Amino acid sequence: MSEAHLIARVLEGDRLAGRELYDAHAPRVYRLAYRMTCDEDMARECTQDAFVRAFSKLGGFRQEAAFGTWIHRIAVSVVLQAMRSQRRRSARFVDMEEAQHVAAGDDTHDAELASRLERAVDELPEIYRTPLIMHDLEGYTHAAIADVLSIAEGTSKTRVAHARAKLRDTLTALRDR
Amino acid sequence: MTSRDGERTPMEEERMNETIRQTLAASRRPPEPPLDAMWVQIEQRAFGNAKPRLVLHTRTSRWFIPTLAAAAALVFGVGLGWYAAPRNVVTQIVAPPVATVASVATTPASQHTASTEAIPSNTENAESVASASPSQGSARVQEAHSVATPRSPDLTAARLASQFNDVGGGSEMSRYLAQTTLLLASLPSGHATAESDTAVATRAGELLTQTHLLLDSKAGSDPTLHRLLEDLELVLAQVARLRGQRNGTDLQLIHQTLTAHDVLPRVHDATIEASITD
Repeated sequence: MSEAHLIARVLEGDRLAGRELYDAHAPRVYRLAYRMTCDEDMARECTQDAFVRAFSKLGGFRQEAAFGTWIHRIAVSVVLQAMRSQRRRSARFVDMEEAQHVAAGDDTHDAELASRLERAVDELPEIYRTPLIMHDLEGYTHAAIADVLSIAEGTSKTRVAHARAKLRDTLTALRDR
Repeated sequence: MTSRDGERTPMEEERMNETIRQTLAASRRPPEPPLDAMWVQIEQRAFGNAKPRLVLHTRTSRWFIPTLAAAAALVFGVGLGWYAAPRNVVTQIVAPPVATVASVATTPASQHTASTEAIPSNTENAESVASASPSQGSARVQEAHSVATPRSPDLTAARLASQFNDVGGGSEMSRYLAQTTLLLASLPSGHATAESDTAVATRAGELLTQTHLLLDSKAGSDPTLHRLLEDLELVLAQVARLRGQRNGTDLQLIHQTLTAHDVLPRVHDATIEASITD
């Protein structure tokens, strides 16, 4: 069944069609929300809010873009709003076990590195941080990022490059110590 | 944003990028998304799903639900009339319906004396209806009228109080709401004795404990029900303090709370809701 048909059915109040759309996109939306927030509860709430918002505004969705792009646009907006209103920096954590797992065989991948990089990512301005996470951690293309964030593709590339440069400086500073 | 990239080769930068990517990917690794749990919330909010259902026992028989709803509505009406009416005519307002009920469901002759002193139970009354002969009727009506006269205003409260334990067969929440309605409808009048106060206060104490349990239960997580339970907690705590030695302000405070928070109408709504949910 095509996405357009599913959307039409959701507009008629068909919950099963809603669930189908949700199943197709929720895992990726949740992953992105988690990558951006590093907080399980917040990621869950943002995913829920994004879908509720999407379904309630579905009547105004003109289908000029894919539903996937649209729901991601909503999700990023919800996440950023949530992060602005709730600066849960303390909730952000470094999974020491994971960090040490990566560290096997390479001295740079230690817990301190992970912690410093996390902090550096947190300190990045929002406009750099979001494209970086989307591109480098979640594998979105620059075209998709441009669609979701309503920016030019070139802008997405530039911002990711800026973010990386900043993180490389952090990495270098850590190595130079 | 300044950078020290000028000092590095492109290959070195690429290797650093990969290190950064791997580190962040590991430290921000998402857990499995709770898809079903999230969908429940989304469905409720986006599709106007039914309100969160009360978690109640479902051993209720089919006929009990409408009966309970009707009984609750009846008691609610009596209760509403009771506390809406001026205090000095309370006894007269409550007395006639009780007299009517009592005239149909009076106790056997052997229990007449006891019925004016002790608290009879519903079961006894129901049995007496089945066994009563027509010849006994007029004497019982007379007796019932004497029971309901203003000379013994506390008996109405005492009779209603005695019925608290007889409201059974429904779910925990339905039973609780029906019992609370009965209690609130049978609050002692200004002329109540210490005995009737104690009976009602004791029952209020029991219901208060039940209120606390319900507040901590899943049923109490429903926001509307939670607010109602909190208001009932306040009222029941006030009623539980009625121990004979009281002044007029005690009852006044209770009635103020009932009126200010629309407690009885809300209990009524919740009773209907719970009976539907059963």
